[in-house]
Amino acid sequence: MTEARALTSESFEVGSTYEAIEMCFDRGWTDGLPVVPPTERAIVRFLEGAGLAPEHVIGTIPERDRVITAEKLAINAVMAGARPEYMPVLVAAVEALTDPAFQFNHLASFGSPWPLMIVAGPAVRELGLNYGTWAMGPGCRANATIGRTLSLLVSNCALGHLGGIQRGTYGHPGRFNSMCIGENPEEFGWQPHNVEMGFDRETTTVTLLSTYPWIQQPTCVQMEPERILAAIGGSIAEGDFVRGVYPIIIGRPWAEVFVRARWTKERMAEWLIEHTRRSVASLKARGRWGVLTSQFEAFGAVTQEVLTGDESKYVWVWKESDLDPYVFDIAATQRKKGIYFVVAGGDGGTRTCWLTPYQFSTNPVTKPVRAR
Amino acid sequence: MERIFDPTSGPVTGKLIMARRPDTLAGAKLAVLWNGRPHGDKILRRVLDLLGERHHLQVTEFLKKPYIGNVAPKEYFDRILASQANAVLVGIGD
Repeated sequence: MTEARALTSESFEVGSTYEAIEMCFDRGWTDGLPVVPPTERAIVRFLEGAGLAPEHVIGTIPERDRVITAEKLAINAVMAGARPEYMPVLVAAVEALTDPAFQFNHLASFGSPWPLMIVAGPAVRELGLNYGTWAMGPGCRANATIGRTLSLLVSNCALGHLGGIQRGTYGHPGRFNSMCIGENPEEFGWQPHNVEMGFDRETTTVTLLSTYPWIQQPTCVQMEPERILAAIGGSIAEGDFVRGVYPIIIGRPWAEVFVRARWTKERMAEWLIEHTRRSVASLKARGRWGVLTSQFEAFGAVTQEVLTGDESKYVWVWKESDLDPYVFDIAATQRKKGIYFVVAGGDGGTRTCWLTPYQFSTNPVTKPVRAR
Repeated sequence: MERIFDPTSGPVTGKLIMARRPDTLAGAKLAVLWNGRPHGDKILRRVLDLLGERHHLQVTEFLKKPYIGNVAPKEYFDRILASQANAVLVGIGD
């Protein structure tokens, strides 16, 4: 039992629940929607859910001169409308958020990145995370409030809000609640994401991967591995053309095509790496040639004019080539690249979904959820 | 009647604070940190020209980050501090 008196956050007396909600608005503690008032009783229950003392430091954010304690996470989780049993997943999410590889500071960038949160493993069922129809839409408490907790926490504890240290040109709609998904835990021969990340099936993992808002791609009704991948790869090639780790989210019917054809994730990735390319002519037409990288000065006068032969010269999203310096930052040596295939979403329709990784710095981080 | 708890966190060390703006740029030493975005050098040099028309400035350093996505190398901070700049002009581009 966590002692209530151990809470060290400043507290305020309010006359009613309505008054408490209004106070949260007035003090800038919300995301623009009402929050659940963080009372002592509720906070203590959440700390018990985490099995952590209030002062326990879950992570640090040196860029903001902040630490994230269990108490602050619990308060924000209460406010988000979460449940105490979500706390172990939230603790893992904060560990990922504060991992140096994630490079927290990028969240303030013009591009308005925000992390997709992928929960994979037994906790998906235990917590009731939606992994099926409408997986990225509102309506499921676990998805919505786990994602919202992270957003409130970044606002309230790390200045990640309007008027704080936040320069996103447009902002990210996913910050409201729908960037937390569970991976489909049904066993049908698919290698789960947590296993791909190096953990056993019984260990739930949380992966954070900073992205721009998602793109839905009409995939096709011809259910053959190469055709599905060609549709996804073609869409990615025509996108921002960023090099990094791409999450590709496919429904179970598409995943089953690969399982039946005995395609492993590794083979799927190899196919996309080999085939996902774009012509120099197309890159020039989109102003994406030679001018958007840190080393652009070295090229001298770079033209965007399409020259003879540019249609048959290519740059690959993942596969390296001699033309890379004209498109990608060659100084970004600590940048991971790859593909995470994740199964989520409904059985119907003809669309798959992928997200563009944030353009600079940041890497995906996966943490195990520890039993408390 | 109930109590609600503050969800915010304050600074831990208090060492990370916004630099105080200089009272005047007249005769100031100015360092420039360009974050590496394309064309930032043009913007920054134009700003220096405009400032130079109004103040007698001395530019002590004009540094470009090797990669936009990473924090500037410690060596840059050391150089700026060693140059005894009164202020640092930090800029972008595109």
